[in-house]
Amino acid sequence: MRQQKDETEDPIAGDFLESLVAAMRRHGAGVFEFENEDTFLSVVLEAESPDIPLDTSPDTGNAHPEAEFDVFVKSPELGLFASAGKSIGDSVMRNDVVGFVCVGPLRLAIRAPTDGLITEELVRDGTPIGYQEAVFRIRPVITS
Amino acid sequence: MPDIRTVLIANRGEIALRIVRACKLLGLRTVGVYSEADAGLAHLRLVDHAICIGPAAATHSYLDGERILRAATLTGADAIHPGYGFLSENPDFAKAVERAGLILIGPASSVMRLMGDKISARRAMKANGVPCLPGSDAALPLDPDEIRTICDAIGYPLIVKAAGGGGGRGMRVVMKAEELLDAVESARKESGLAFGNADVYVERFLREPRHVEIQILADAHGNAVWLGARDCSVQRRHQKLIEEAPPPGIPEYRISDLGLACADAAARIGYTGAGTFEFLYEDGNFNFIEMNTRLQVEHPVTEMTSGVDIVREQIMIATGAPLSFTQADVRTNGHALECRINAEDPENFAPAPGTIKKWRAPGGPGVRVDTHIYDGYAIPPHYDSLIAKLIVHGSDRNDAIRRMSTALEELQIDGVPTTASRQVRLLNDPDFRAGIFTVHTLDRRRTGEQS
Repeated sequence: MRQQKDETEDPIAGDFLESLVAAMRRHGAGVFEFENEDTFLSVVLEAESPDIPLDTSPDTGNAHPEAEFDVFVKSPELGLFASAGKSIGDSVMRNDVVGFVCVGPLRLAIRAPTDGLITEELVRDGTPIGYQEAVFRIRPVITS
Repeated sequence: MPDIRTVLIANRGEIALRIVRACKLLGLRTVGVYSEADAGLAHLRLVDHAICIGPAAATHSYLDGERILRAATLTGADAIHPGYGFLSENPDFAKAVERAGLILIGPASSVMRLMGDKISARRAMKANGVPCLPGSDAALPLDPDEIRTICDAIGYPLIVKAAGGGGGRGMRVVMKAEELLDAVESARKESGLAFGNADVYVERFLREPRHVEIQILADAHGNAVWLGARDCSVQRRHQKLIEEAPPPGIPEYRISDLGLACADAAARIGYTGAGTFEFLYEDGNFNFIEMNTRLQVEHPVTEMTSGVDIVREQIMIATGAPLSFTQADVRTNGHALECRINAEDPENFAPAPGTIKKWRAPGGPGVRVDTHIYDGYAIPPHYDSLIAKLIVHGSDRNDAIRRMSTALEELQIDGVPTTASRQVRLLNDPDFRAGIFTVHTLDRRRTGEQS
């Protein structure tokens, strides 16, 4: 966690920050900024782990608003990328096949590491992809 | 004439960067391959296409010929430059490249195989007038009596060597006849494990030799030249620390005779590309030990004294172009030195990977730095510890030593220990100054310090 704040020390700042961070994590917010005439406070949360989605409300299933929590779908092999018809805006479930990597006669599935929404296609159909190269960006969706 | 448009560089570190530079000079497209541990390599920013080929372990990336070939096919490369180490002297890989219809920037696989087997190489060199040590002209037989007969005829001390390898593995020094059979047995075991070939042979062992080598270039039209000789006697455990050209104290005409014999032999065996003939020099005699069928780490030393861009010439030769100069055009000008800067403890040479916090390169006339490091570069623990080559050129040996001393003083590498401080001391060593360092000097001193 990075934080920038003014020089004024407040005895409740520690508790306040703890509550603020918890609230941000609960709501999936990556950045919080506050400004008035003589104060500027900015709190930026670093993702704890790219593969671990943040908590979210139990019933909404909303996508996280911050791209820094996105996860990447990576190719398990060096080969030629073949589309499975997935594109931006498609929702995927963990382990769904989102594409293929062709290695000679083999066609290996590329699977989503988490539930989520595809926010970016990083490789075009029929282009070479490297070992562990990212092919899609996914914004995790939390459901419970 | 083969057409080369895109070169895949099947290597990493400083040599990958060196090859990219030569390719750019020739207007060629480049493909950089890297392992998962190497995404931060400097040359990857300069290539036309960078692709990750596998995990950090070299066996699954830089040593995996199938992956290298797959990367070449995927990226449309028509030639592969193997650099040094890794697959650069693997005849099976060279053959696979040929079968795939691609060009390996190096000799034909058949020639690589001939010279890769130390026994057949020795035989070929003897047949072509290159001086060799007294030794067995074939793999040692299994029968102990026959082994004794062969070795007694050669004389002791002798050294048992692996037919399939180098770098000290599968080698045993035999000081007297009673030690022979045990040494042959253990060398066979080690060679079989290390190289998949348990054949061993023997040669007379030299006690205080210097390492002298000849750089050659040969084209596909039967032309071959030698560009100069290097002395690489400052070594620890068969790894070179300082190289120089020309070798100090050896008459020019002796080097020239040897160089011509090497160029002639290269042409006769159908060698193409850059290659190095390695010799042990003792009591005024040169003795062939092996040929490196690839670019050498220390090639810049010869580039500095000859003015020839060896990597550029290598690539030109691979396109089928004839050499653009003849032996009469080749001169050795002044004196050059190279220090291999390794991320290692300067006292015990233990590898010390880490992150380069800050570094500053030396400069000035006659100073060249070949390196892939930059501020913040993390040296992976998986590969060789070489992080930079510092090369200087002076009017004579003393001038070159002075330039190197100044350059080493100027060099700043923060974050990891390096061999630079040891090299500063070596440059002032009376034996080095006198040009009498042998390949055993450093190791012997270390053993002496420990005992």
